[in-house]
Amino acid sequence: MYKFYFLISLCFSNPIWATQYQSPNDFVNDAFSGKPPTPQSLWVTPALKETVANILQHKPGFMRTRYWQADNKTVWILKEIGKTQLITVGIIIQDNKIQNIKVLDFKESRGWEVKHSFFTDQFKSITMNPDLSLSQRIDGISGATLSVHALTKTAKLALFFNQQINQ
Amino acid sequence: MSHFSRAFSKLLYKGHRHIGFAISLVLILLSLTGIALNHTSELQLDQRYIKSPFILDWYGIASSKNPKSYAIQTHWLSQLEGTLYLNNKAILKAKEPLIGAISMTDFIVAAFPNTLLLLTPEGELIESISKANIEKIALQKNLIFIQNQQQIYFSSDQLLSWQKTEQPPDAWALPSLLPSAMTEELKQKSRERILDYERLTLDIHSGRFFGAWGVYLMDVSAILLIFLAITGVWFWLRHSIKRINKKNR
Repeated sequence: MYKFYFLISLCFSNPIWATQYQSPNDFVNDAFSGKPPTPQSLWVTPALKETVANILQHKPGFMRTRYWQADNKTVWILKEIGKTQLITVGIIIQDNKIQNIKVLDFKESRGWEVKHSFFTDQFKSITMNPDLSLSQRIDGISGATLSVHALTKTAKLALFFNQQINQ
Repeated sequence: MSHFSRAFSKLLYKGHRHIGFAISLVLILLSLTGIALNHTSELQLDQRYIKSPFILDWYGIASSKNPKSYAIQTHWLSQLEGTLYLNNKAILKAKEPLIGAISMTDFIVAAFPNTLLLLTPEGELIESISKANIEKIALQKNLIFIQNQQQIYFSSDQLLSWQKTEQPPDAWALPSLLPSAMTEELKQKSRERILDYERLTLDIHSGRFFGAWGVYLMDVSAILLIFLAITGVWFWLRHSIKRINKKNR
């Protein structure tokens, strides 16, 4: 219970080294060439909650997530804890494959290397296996293990959510 | 060995024993708090709070401020010392100042300068929505209004999308005075959510818990520990050399 309370509380604490690389709105605008569709919402129902908890390896701190969808493209803005702070990640999925993943906001004091394209490019064209694992292995970065895990989890979560809305 | 060096060695040995005995308690305290600090996450020291009135009084912690509260239908949403309360239940931490709250049948919205929180009627977080420079919030005819940098927007779809409008709502959400019994309850609860176990353990470890003299005591203990380590190695070396010499004779 304490851990859950702590995770939720992180949504509203901003350490001095917090860096926003791009606002979620700008990311969504860029993804749809300046003409984003109306956002929609996916509720984390009790049926989904267990799988979401398995992917995140903790109880989800939210009950609803928003997404933008046009043609075969969906865009997700997801937040996940690195070590002690939340990392906001934008993910574009095209035809059930990750087209782009970008760190939008990084509040951790370490592990910021995950924002670089040499790392995020590994996610391009990745899909989700039936056992909820990613179709390709993601190489880690020394000293940024927890941030790497956080990004990997958000990628899995976005692919899982994408599967749910396309069912 | 000269008389002087024998007397010096005897003094060192006596000092080693007496100092070792004298700082043994401090050493145990340092070791225990050090082990605890090494396992802060596992022991959740930063997520558990001290409730002992004696320790809180010792730290001079008193919640003197009144909470900022908004009446939402039959409930109260309040913020005190960075914690958001639904009636008397702490629901989450929020460092930004609460600037308004409204409630509909299925959800509550708490507004902060850069965030809107969509909550269930029980206070569970549904979604945290980033929105910059929010100044006010209002509810009118099932539409949620916000004012943001002199622009007014409204949402009709549970905060999923916003439309600009020139027509402001009749009234914006304003803070209200929380009943005094609940105010006192929140103040007490808030007081018990300020000092966490990690802070206390750190303060005991550094000696700050015992005031300025506690820090000096830990400093002196650290110096004496260095003395013990050096003299301990010295005695061991001297003893080993003596033993080797004896064997060689």
